[in-house]
Amino acid sequence: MHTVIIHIILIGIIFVLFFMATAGKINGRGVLQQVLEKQTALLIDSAVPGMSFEVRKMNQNGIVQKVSLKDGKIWIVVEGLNSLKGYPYFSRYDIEVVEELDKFVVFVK
Amino acid sequence: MKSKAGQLGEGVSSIMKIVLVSFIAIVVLGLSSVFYDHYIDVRDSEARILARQVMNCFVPEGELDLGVMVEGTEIFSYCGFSDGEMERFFVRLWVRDGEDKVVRKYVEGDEGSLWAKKIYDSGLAGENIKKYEPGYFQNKYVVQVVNGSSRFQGDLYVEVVVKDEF
Repeated sequence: MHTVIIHIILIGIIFVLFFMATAGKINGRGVLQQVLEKQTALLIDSAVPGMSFEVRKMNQNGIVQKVSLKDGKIWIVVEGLNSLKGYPYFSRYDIEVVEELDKFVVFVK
Repeated sequence: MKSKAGQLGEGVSSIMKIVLVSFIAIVVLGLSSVFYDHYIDVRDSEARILARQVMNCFVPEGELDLGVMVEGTEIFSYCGFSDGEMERFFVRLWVRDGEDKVVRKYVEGDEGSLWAKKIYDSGLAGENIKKYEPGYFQNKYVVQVVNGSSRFQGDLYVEVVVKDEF
């Protein structure tokens, strides 16, 4: 009887872990993150000083939790999914990200 | 009452079942990763944007001054890009005069990217490595070229190759 209960618990744990991992893939957070990072990088690439653009936290690509710049790359956290590689951008100008209440604003100076 | 050997056998059997279930879970997860993963290629767009940026930097207000843009000018540093962020790019510019003669050439970046691009263009690269194909853009701009006291209408060719980000 004990063995059966232990089996059920272990298989339950495996199932939950598996379900969580699969759900992460199926809801496409990685793809959404990739879309956001690449969109933003291209906007930075083509921007000129004085321009600014917003990334809404409640984005159609998911809930954006963090937008940051580091090592010439843009890093965006979407629904708890941390960016592993970021995406490189290039610009002749200074770029700054400012977090506001409901959005992140990228300034090109 | 089970013997020790029986208990041991039951334990091994349990472990085997759990290993089997885990293996099936990993296989299904691996398959779902393949089906739900999607790569978006923006390198051609990056090449187009960089070509435009370089063109605007070399030819302010439609005039290319060969006295300022001397042979060997470092494209990225002249245009104000930092080296770290330009490692993926190869840029080549050349100026042709009215007689189609190349009067000036500028090159910067890893020329190997161009070689990789040629392999893909020749069709030798298989479908499974398609995502490593470099981004590419080339365009010709009609510009006024200033060379000392002379001035003529020439063509500025800009070619940009972008390496993969993997």
